[in-house]
Amino acid sequence: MNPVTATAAPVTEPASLARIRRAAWDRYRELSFPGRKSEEWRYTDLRGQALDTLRFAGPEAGGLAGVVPLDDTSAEAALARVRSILGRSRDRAGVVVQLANRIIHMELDPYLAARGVVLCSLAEAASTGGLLENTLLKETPGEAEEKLWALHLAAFSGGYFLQVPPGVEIDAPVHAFRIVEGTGEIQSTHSVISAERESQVTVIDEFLSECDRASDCVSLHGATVLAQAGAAARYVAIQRFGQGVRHFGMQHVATARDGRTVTFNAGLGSDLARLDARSRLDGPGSNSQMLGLWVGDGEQHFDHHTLQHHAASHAGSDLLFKGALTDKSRGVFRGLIRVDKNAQLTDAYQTNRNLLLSPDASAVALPNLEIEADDVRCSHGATIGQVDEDQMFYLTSRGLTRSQAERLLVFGFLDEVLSRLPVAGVRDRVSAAIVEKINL
Amino acid sequence: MSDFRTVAKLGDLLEDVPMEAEGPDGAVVLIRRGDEVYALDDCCSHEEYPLSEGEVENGNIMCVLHGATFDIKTGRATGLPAVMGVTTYAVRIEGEDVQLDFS
Repeated sequence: MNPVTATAAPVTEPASLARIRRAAWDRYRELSFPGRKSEEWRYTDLRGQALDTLRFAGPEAGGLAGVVPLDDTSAEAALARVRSILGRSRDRAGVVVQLANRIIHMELDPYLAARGVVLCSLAEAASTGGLLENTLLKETPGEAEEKLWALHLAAFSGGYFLQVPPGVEIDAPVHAFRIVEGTGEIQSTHSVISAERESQVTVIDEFLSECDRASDCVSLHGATVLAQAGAAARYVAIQRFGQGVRHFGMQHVATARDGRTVTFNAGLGSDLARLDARSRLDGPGSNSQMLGLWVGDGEQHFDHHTLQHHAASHAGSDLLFKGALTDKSRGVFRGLIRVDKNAQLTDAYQTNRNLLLSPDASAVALPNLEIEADDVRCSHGATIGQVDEDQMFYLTSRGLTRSQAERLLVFGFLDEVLSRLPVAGVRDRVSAAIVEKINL
Repeated sequence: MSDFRTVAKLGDLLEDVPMEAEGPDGAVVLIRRGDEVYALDDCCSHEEYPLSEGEVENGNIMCVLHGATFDIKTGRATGLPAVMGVTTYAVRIEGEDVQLDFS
């Protein structure tokens, strides 16, 4: 790998970023933590997370400039891990590696760079007038999420900006790795993906940490995916944190006229993971697919909140989230389809299915509809069930042990979500991560 | 070994008015009846809404979200939609101190 951006030198923060940080910090201090009375935080008590006791690159700490530089050995170890994941495959348009508070590697196919594709750190994007204001800051979270969102911006410690110019189609994915390392820290990054008119792009965000290198860390991550008219944007997040990390994801997707977006979230790691995923259909003919899966074991806690917001007519959205839970793990899904008054002829689906593999595992499913238009097709459904004993009997009668059969059935259960991922290379990567998790 | 810690003052508790406190496994709701104080998990077994927002009547606490009721002494579910009970905790009163076992 030939790093084109290696920020080993101390980082100075652009003034515009410092301003965003300061404003967010003031807002964070103004707001109070949402309690368990709020629907959004009933199952994950934000007040119990002791966020105020953790260190982060906030304005009081001098922002990015105040962040302690990393030593070379951990950067080397991180790059080695990334290389082993990428393997020999050359099927990618770009790679970003962020370790703790630093981007340690960034590369983009020179052919794409020549065609005007921009891949840079968010700090660099902040120094270009208006870029962040028109993307990251344009999308706002729901009321109950505002406190965490304000902390996310105030504690900002990295991230990248990807812009695909009109008409440019990138077939191979841009693969970004984010590795959390440290003790008692909040690390907060953001991915901005802007697909301009008639362009096409696929991005993978992969989240990693090593158990012996991260403890009591909180990862905040935001993603803003904007697909302009006729554009196709696919965003895949594979969360494979080790123990010692709590993860809070906030995703904002906006799809313009005739645009198509696909988001995919795989929740495999961390002690606690919460995701707030919002997708807004802004133009007629737009389509949004939201896919998600989680595999919980031990005492893992997954909490998912989704919003399919139909703000324009003739748009379609489809959501499929599936969770498999064993030991004492827990999965929560709360989804909402909101159809504005003018969004006639909306076609929206929402499905959540849960598989419980142990008597102590639990799942909560709360599908919701909020429809103001009068000519729409909307449906939602949720199920919670156990492994089918007939299938189990069949597999064990063929010589598999009960545990092998169970893992195979879990993989089969999740395959329905995987098979909807449109890019084969990306599907293989997610599938490999699941196989590793369930030890198949 | 028991490890009783003070979680509230008796004088702060009003008859049949639930109060939230920090217990050994997260939030608990304390309810005073005469000289007795009862402690239950502050979490309705139906949809996990805090019971401390609820009302106490005839020895039962009612969750305000959907009306499930629980016996304040035993934690047993006494009214739908809850079908499972909630955990109760032993309470010790030392003078003015309301204590729970944290061991």
